[in-house]
Amino acid sequence: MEWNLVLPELIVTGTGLGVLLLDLFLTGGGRRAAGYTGLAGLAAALVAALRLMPAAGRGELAGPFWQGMVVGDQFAVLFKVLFLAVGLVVLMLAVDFVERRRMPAGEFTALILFAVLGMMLMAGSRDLIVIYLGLETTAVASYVLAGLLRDDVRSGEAAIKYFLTGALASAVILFGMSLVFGGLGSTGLPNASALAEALAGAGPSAAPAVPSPLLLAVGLVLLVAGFGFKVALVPFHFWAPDAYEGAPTPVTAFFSVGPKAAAFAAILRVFAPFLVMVPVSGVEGKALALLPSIFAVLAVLTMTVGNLVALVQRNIKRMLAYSSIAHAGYILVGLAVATPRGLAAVTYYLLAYAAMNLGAFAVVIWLNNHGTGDEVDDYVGLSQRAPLAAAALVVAFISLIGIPPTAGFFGKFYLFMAAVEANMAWLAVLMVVNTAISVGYYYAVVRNMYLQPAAEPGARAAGPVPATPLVGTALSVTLVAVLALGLLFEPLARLAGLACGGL
Amino acid sequence: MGSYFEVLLFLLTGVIFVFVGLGVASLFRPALPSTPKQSIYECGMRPFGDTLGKFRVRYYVFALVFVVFDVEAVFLYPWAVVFREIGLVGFVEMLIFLGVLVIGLVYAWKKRVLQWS
Repeated sequence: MEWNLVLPELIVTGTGLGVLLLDLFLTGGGRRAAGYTGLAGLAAALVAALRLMPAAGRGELAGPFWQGMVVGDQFAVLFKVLFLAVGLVVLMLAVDFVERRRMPAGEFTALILFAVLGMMLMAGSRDLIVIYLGLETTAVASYVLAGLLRDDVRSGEAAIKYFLTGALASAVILFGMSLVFGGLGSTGLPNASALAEALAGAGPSAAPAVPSPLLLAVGLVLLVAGFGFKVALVPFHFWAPDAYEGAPTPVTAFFSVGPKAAAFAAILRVFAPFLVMVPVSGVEGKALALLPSIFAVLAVLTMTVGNLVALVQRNIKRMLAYSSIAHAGYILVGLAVATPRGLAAVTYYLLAYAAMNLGAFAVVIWLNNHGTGDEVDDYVGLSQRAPLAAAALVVAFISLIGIPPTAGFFGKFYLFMAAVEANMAWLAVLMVVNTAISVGYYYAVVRNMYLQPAAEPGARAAGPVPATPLVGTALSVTLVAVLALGLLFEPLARLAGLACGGL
Repeated sequence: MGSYFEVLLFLLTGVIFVFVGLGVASLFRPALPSTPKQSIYECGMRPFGDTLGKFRVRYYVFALVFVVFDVEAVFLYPWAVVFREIGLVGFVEMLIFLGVLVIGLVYAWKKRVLQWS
């Protein structure tokens, strides 16, 4: 069972190494084989992860493996499935782009695979060391991915900015982890659900003995800042727009959902046990009780700044970067609420966000492959030139705004309910106000596509834009997911609840 | 804290050892400096050019490959010490680890990283 549990990771690792070797012997058009091999590996790993779902649901994989370095609870398996699906879609979107822009196909594929591997490690462990290891595996691969367009200065700028802030964030996280280790006396994190049960049964006396609550609290605050850099929360967000704009577009799509979701998975895993302890923090030291307030302040700052600055963006990648920051703010609402339902809402929102944001990026990549620029003005008259692409982008935007019956609506609805139930209605109201602001910049693109006539026909890369099979499939998958996640809200919300219940 | 006290003891002994050793030696050894004796030995060459000069980026790749195999050696030592206890599983695991590094070396080789010119 032990090896079965890490089979997805093993497949991804093996495929990544295989692609590196394979690529050495490929030339010219044959280089696409690297991408196809990566797709096959990710698909196989996805099947392996899906096969773990039933056993994980029965709690058979929860037992600590390898001294607690690896856990196979529902949370871990659910997130592994998400990461593999994200990797699969991104790679499908990237194969044509990589070939057209003459990026090194083998390295690109292998780096995506290694980044996905790191993300899976982050979600599948209850040990700070392994979580950090996964974080760094993802980060190092990401730095290189951002700079893979070697003839583009802005790609280099994206890579260096991402690298410098990422390295700083890693240092802060590592320092925070060392303090948490000092406060807790172990790198293994407490099991939140077991802890909650014990607290409910025996009262505050059941809380684990924390040798030094203050040390623990300082460590956790450092972790908030470090992870805040990784998921681009305001005021740790300044690197994100430049990195997102300069990176190759499929890599931007990957950054905005992959490493971000993985960092949120790590945040859930790390903070859940301490959020459980908040009600009894009289025993543990008042400092712990500040955590939800910190998350609430960051949530308000992040969604407001993200949405307001997105309003004035003229580049669609930059606009989606700020939109991504804003969505991280919505997600934080679930953590500020600090209830089991809040955490479940975070998990559901991450699934929904992955689908809808990849959908939006799929259209941007599709159009870019046919010579359409990345400026919002380049999308003028798109509904005549490429009706399908325009319609697809509208669906993705409807979900990003949060209009029913899409996944984005249910994600926001779930967060909203969690906030209201926890007597934090003011946070829910701010979320709605922000959603209203966000309509502005999404609608600006829609207006350009549908209501503005193309200035001079043929001026900017006119003509129809046929979708290649891979991009077409990826886009269809994401759009179907946007609708399916909304229609299957009940069972998925229950699954998210169960997954977070096992943290 | 008990185990940390030993660490502290080691640290202090290490520091004291250096000063005592050098101090005692300076009392007894003859001091006859000469140019060849004072030239830099083994730990580097006489610096040339100024520090802001550019040099080949290829040097870093060389250094990286060197560090990778240096660290590999660090992992091999404890593995060899407990080799009898961990048995066949440990042996196979180390083979896999080495295999991963060999793939890296093959990659570097094919990409002509190991050629200076």
